[in-house]
Amino acid sequence: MHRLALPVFTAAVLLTAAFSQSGGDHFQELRKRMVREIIQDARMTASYTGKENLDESVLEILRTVPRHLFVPEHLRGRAYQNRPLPIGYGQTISQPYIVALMTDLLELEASDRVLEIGTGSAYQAAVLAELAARVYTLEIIPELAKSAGQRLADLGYDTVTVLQQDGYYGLAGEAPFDAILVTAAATHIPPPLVEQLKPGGRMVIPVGGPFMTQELIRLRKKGDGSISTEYLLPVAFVPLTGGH
Amino acid sequence: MVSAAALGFELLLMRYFALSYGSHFASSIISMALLGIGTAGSVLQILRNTLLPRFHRLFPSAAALLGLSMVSVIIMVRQVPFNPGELTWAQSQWLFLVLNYLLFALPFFFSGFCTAIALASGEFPPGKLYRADLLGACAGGLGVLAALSLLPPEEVLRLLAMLSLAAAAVAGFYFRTSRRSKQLTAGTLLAAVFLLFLPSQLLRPLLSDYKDLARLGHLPGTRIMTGTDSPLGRIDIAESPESPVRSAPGLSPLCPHPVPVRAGIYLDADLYGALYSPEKDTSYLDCLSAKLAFLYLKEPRVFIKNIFASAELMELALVEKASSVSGSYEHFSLPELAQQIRPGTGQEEHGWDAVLLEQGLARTVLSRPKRGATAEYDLITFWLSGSGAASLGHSAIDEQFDLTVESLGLMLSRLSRTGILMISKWRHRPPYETLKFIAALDAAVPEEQIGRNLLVISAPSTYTLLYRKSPWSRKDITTALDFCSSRGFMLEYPAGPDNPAEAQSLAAQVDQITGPEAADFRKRYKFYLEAPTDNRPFFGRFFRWSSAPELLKLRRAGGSALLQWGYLTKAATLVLAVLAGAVLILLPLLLRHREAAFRGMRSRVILYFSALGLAFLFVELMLIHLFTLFLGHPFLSAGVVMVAFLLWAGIGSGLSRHFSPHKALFCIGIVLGSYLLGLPPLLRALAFLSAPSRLALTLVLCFPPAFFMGMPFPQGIERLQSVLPAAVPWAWAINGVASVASPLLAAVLAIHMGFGFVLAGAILLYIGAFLSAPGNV
Repeated sequence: MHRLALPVFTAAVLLTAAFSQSGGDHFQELRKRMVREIIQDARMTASYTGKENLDESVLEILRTVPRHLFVPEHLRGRAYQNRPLPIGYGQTISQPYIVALMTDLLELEASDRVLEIGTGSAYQAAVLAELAARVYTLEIIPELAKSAGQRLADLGYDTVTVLQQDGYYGLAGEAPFDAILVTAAATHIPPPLVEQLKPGGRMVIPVGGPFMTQELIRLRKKGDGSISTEYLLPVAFVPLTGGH
Repeated sequence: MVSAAALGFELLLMRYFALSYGSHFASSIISMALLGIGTAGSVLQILRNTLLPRFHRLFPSAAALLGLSMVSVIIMVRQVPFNPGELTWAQSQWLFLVLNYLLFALPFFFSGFCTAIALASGEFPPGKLYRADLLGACAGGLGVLAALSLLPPEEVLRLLAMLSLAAAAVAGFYFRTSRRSKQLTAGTLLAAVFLLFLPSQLLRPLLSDYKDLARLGHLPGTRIMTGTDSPLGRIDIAESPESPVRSAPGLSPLCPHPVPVRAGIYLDADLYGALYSPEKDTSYLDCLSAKLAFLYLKEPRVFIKNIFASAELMELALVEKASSVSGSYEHFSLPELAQQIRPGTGQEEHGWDAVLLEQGLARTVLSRPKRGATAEYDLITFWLSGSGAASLGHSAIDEQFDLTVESLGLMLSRLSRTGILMISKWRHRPPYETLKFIAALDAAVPEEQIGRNLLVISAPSTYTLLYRKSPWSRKDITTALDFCSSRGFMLEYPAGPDNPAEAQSLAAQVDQITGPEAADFRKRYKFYLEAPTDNRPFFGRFFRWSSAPELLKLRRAGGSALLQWGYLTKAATLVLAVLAGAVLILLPLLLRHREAAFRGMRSRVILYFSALGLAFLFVELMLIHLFTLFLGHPFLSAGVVMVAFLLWAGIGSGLSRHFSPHKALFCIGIVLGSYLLGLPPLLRALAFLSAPSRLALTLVLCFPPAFFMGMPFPQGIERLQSVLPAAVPWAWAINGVASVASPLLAAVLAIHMGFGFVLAGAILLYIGAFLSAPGNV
């Protein structure tokens, strides 16, 4: 029995390593397939968004960020389907295509400071962190804020700060931001967020009634403080909790 | 008692569905119920020789199982992870939908079994039995409506289950010759004790996690301030210090003023509106797109539709020193709840006391005779919501009488010479809702080119449309342009030198839909844009089958919102109901019955009983539709018409032996024909009557059709009992299948062809029944 212990242990270690390796490859393959679908979706909606192709750097990040670690364990098998998934508390992790599109629309640069409203599972924050210098993300539901912060720390995303608070007022203490991404629907664009945007800054936000069809909007703040808006795509987002 | 419990459960399920899945699924309940009832007839027919001799034992057992299954189904369905919002994404959700559908049919299987076996036993005259069935259902309906005003749904469920057990006990006592009656009585008692002590939380409607109030419940400090249950729905008023309601649709993103925070009004746990309370700092009102109307009006008389969902419009009117502010509301208990929460506000200048509140649909309120300050208005305004795109298309099948051509015509007739009709709505692309509203407005004033009287501005998330009886002058348009430029808004219509129209712009499309090529434009457009009328009051219907392939492709690319899920769900449920009915009811019977004697009269039996099954609900649904406008509330109309129908049809069936089937069917044809032509104008002419008079008149007007419509079914069964008793459960099942499809088919036909067509269809079906009536068999 004792003589068998070492070979059995070694075999077990090797098998586990091989399995986890193949699991990693498996997820990588699924991510690639997911991105191929996103590319098709982008082409299909080009007449709405005006974008035939999404930025390659955004797509490359979606090929690497492990979405399966941002969804509840029992849904990991579906993590790379191009669809939203429930994450509890009446919230969802957005469809990967929408994540890609919204990230692309922000036109981020490596030095940018980004504010995200609606952390959820923090997948979007992780994607943003790969492209920008600093990401602040606000989540109103305490449990989600806590688990998102822990998840990002575990995965080594140390340029992201998760705060538990109402996103309506933004984060005046850290303003101005180069880009603001709102991943929850609001009935109007919160003026405090517009105020916290740098001149030349971009905001991507879905607006419309709670749990209804919203319109995805990109807003640009001009040098004189005025704004311009582009209407991109009808979407359906979980509302900013409470109803604004 | 069995019929009372079954119909009561049917009504109660509507409340459960509204809380768990949304009210658009509630309309499928009638079809689920009838599927269960039809299947019972089928089972009885197949196992007739085994089951009928045990009638005295099986009847009380089925009654007891009805009560137990009501409770069990509610508990089981809580375990089915059905989420209508995921139907777009997950095929498994369609399986869960089918599973729910079948589970909910189970209690109705037992109630249907009770009626079918009692009919087949031959121990009771069919007329009397059918009368007891209908009158019991009538009592059950009334009882549940009353109980829902006093008790939460879970306790009403417990009462209904106990009623079924009481029915089992009474039947057990009545049939006490059965050797096993003592065991049955003991079992029933045991079940009653079990039900009595079953924890309420197991029976409570499972609130969807995606409901606004459920999500708010996850935040610390959220407080339900007050709430009430009623047959119309549950209303809660809740506040959350972490995430209060800031209701300011159409707010400028450049607004430097804070938006007031308010408590929320929740209807069936969905946010309905912000609870108005006077604020000290109201400077944010200057940033709202709705402010524009007040630049053209001095101290206007204002009417606000759905005033409890429009806190900011009410505040704007009060702050702008409107000479009078009136508002309509639909949910009876809202004023009382609002007063409970803000008792002091009535004393203040801008409090609720400054507002005249009137219950009813806006058009019902506006059609009432008025005097003095409210004889006409300078501004009629409302928030256009709940249409196709706004609610993911779920309300495609909802009747919206306030948005029909006739309703808009009435609103315009109540405006003063310089008055303005202003609506605000979410901004969407493509702008099909806005275009449809303009098409309806155009149809409401056929004598005018409405383009010159129309002004549309946009905020980032909303459109605001202002229609004035007199054309806008250049000065007025300059005012609008100045207003927009200082707030980051856009003047969308009319286009001009300062805002030229691009080919695909809203302005270009408005010109097309109001121009001479309007019919062609509507035909070419990918969404359905025909103006809704009282005959087809489905403002939310935009779906076109010709656009379906393109929209289905887009559904996974963010475009699922463009699909009309309400319409598609209804169509899918119709297919499901017909398939389930065919598989569960007709197929076993067709396989079983090949006897030569039976085959000879099969086509007549099928035609007669299926025509009756289809036509009865066609007529009932049509009258509910007609009386909705007369009574001012769809639920009130549904309740009164349903109860009246059960009552009068019950009496009619009791007297069915005194009429021949042909005479009864002839009378039905005459009554329905005259109703088709004469009822709508009669109801319009009598709209001035008081609410109790209208209620009484509704009951009276339901009598002629319902009384005669209660007769043909028992007459047919009685005839079959005498010539071919074996076919009685079969007839019951055929009638069941037709009834399963009837409400769904009526809804689809009404959406496409109008309610008049549905009633005409019912007349044709009764002619079919006349030709195949039992006298000819």
